Amino acid sequence: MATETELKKVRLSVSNAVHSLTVLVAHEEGLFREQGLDVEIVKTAGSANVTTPERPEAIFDRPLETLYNSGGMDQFRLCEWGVMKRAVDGEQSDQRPAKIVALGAAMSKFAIVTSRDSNIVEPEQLADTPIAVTIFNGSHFTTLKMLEGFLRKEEIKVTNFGTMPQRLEAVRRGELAACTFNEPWISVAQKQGFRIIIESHSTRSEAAGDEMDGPTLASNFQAQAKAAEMIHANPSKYAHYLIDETGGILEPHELQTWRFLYAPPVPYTRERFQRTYQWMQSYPDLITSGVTFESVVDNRAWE
Amino acid sequence: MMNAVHDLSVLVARDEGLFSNEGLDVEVVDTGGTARVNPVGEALHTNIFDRSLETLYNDGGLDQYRMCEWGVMKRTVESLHTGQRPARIVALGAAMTKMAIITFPDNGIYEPEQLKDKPVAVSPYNGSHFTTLKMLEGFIEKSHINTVHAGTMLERIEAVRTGEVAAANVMEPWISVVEKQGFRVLMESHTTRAEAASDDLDGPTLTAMFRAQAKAAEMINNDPSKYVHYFVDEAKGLLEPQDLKTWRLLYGPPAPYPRERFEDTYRWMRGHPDLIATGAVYEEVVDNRAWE
Repeated sequence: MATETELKKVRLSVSNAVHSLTVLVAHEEGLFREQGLDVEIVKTAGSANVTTPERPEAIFDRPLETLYNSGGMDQFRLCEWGVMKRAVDGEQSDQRPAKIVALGAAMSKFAIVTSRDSNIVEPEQLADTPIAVTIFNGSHFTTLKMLEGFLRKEEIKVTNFGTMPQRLEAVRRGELAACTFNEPWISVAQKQGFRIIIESHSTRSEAAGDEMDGPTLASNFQAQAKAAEMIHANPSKYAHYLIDETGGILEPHELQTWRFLYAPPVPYTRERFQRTYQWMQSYPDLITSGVTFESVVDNRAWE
Repeated sequence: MMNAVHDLSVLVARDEGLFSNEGLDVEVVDTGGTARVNPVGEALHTNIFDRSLETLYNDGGLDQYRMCEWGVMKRTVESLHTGQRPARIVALGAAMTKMAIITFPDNGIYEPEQLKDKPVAVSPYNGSHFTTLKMLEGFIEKSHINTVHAGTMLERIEAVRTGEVAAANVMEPWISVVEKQGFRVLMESHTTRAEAASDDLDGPTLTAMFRAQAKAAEMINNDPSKYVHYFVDEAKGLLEPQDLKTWRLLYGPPAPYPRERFEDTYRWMRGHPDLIATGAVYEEVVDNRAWE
């Protein structure tokens, strides 16, 4: 193992625990240090945390993106499509450049939820009904993907609405028909008798600036891969990260850890880029057109 | 009655005396559903009209049946000009069955996109088939969704375990069984049934039947644990009552099948090759006489 003075300093962002659990566990269990990294976790206000206030709708004005743009951290992860949007749109709008450097570890479940009293009992009934999401984040993109087989694209309506706990309350009050979110709020909804209409595992990507070299990324991903194994071996050990986000609404045994699924980060392939970019361009105003694999993706961790 | 999860409102209405309250003497006729029989036998004959339920219906052995919405659409449309006993869609059904695409950890499948071109085991032209297409359409191009026949729920679960197929689509009680056994539930969704009947069954009789099912749906939603035994019986010793995930059970009152829904569903089915015959119209396929 490297000595303290030889460790490479890296600042990794964490917003919602479920998406960054491999980072949190790798940090807690000393896996980054085993790889020669001195990782500082930089927390940004995620939509899953009860303490998070409402955030700006413009993506490059949000806490995580602002921090990255101002140089406050080196590397971040979001849903695959969120990273694609930021890498593509950032390149064309003078933001600090970021490239997709891996398909990430967290296969977070997203669920579309309605209230117990709702007349909505199946996906088709969501036609032309606003579903609350965080616009241009995982809840937005996975809502589109989950509903595409059930509704025509033009019938799928999303609305940007607050944080996950705020969305849940709005659905409870009947102000919203449905909303999409990840754990721990799926478990909260389940505990409180809400209906889970549809849910799916979904993917993250890892993004980084050119300042972070390939070997450092490789070490980071090796530590996360080991953390993924440890989470699967004993998910309840790490439930506290998600329980904390609920501010006491959920007891540890109520978190549905069977929904946890993590994998080793892997290269982001050309075929995957083309399919994902093509899918995103099939919706109006979802992403800027005209970029190439070479300008957006860099698999240097595996070179 | 094929599989308990799809027909639970009928079973409960019978066993709680709700059909009797409506003046109906209902005989529930068992046919071999993929959640209940092994081996699969004629339940999944290549020709849908040679399957157990369809043969019984064609021979006059039952008056009314329910399946997934798309399965009923296929059978009612394709019975029109093929010499089968005519059937029409008479309602959107009560069971909003959760269907799940499951994988085994050793298979290395973590997300829906990885199922591109990989075999996913289903019952062809039944709910597991149609809902696999629907759930995967946002993640995989239609031409790369690869559904295959691998027998009953139990048989396809074993095919996933051995790696013969990458994934399978199952419903309760088998979602709970595979969860207990450490499989991954990749994605799952509530899905709809439709009710089909011949012209021999009159509107008032259908109305009475649907009222009884609506009452049964309320009773199930209010106390699902009371009715777990139907599922435990199907799982053949692989599930204890407390292991069934009753939060997945959801039932609603049967409702009319509107023109817009027919058009949307028929259009979607024609969007996949060889899924349904073309040329049918709402008036010859749907009959909402229970509400007239």
